[in-house]
Amino acid sequence: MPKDLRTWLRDLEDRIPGEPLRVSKAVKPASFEVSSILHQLEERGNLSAVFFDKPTSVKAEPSDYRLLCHAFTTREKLAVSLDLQDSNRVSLFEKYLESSRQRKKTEIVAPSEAPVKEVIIREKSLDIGDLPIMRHNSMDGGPYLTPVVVAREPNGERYNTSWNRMMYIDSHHLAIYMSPRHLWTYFQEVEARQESMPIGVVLGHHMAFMLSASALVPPDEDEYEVAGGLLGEPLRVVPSEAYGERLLVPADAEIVIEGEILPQRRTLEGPFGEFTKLIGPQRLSWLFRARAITHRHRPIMHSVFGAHLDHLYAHFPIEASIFQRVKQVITGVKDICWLHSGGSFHLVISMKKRTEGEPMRAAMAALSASNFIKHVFVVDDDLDPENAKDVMWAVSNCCQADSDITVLHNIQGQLLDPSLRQETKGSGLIIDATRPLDRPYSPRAALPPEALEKIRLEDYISS
Amino acid sequence: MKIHYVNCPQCNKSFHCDANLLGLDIPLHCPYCDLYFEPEERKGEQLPKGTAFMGLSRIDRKILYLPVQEKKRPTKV
Repeated sequence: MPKDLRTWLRDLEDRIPGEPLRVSKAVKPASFEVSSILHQLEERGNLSAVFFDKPTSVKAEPSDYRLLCHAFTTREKLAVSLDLQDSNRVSLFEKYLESSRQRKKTEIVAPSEAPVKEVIIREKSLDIGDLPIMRHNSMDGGPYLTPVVVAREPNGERYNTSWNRMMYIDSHHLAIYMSPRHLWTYFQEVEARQESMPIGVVLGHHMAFMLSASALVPPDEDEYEVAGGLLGEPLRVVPSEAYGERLLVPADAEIVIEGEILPQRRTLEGPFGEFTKLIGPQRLSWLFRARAITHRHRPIMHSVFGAHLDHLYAHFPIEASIFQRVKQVITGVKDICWLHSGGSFHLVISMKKRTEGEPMRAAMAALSASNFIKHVFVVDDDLDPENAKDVMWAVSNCCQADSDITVLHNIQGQLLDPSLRQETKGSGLIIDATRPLDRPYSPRAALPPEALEKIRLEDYISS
Repeated sequence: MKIHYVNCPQCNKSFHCDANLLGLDIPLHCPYCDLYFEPEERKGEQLPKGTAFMGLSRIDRKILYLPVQEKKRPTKV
């Protein structure tokens, strides 16, 4: 049986007792009811996946759709997605990197073999507002989808997968925000010819497929093949209803909205709560028009909870790819931490320094790997990069501002970084908080281990 | 990105937008009451050549898509 969202849910139930939580009462996602439930669970430290049996449509009408949220909130769920028993961060990095290297050619199947074709709604009768689309945070410009968008390279065979926030506008239109990466590059090329670009809006599949959308791979690589590597089997694809073989869409997806990004058209989009946990402003974004919706019977729509932990963890492949890039440059790198560094654009590198200058080179590799990284802290390998107290201890005790801090100017920033003063350009910071090798350095204060072993606290202090 | 806070003339609630939008001949959309309105202040920097990121040589009302129902009612308030 091919892997899909339903097999992922079964694996989740088998591996993590009590997950997913099930909500059988009707909820109105477009009226903040789903986000209120998710937020309160997160506040209480309950990061379970949540399955909503009866979410209503945007128009608050009963719908046939179901809704899955919080699919990325813990490493344990990432481990389920990647079929890994261990959920240690470095183990997850290594498993992700190994799987993503195992590129697998896609398998084209007939529509009759594609579950996503069980129900086909054509342009005249479709209404995107029938879907259970969430409003995530106050001030959101409208209900927002958080899909994986699939697109075929213009004049090529390669497919790109990417996360793109999409705001509901009306029955046939969504606003789509594109960062200046591969999908944006595709559209630049197509729009220059005054043409529209067909895309598939995938709203649910096995989480290994969904994670392929965050993969940092060169533009000449096929991300459908990367998805196959992560799934551990070829991604099954099927010709789309609206575009035939011009656009192949995942056959085992729960829901696909087929349509196109229109040339020479823009629309108002936002505000929207981003992974920075800040509300990004209303802006101009691109316009998508739907041509068909296909889905399975009783489809399960997946939504990432914007500006919350779920949103952050969906970026895990980026963190893994940065780890790979940094380790390729400096083999002494032991671990990195971005998602739990405490800052949306902070990265901490923990490494065994062999020569002076290595921390700087490792940091530059991280900065060049992704524009999500703005500030890099490098610490010695005896410190946990996820422990912010450890990191600040190193900055405080191993760092001199005039020689160990470097500011880089005029580098491409992350467009969602509200501190950028120019549209796309900003600065970077590297703090080398490793101990120097060129002079003796004080050791960390510690007790003799044999003394600690000899003393049992209970023998001296009664509780 | 420079942002600018605006108040909706209908519900009087505040939200923020890309400051460049104020320099363009386009309405804003209130996320609270769904009104499309012309901002009172057009303080933003005019971008006559559009922006490289948006990929357009010119940005004006003609390229802007508004929801179907909005086309039927005036955007001025």
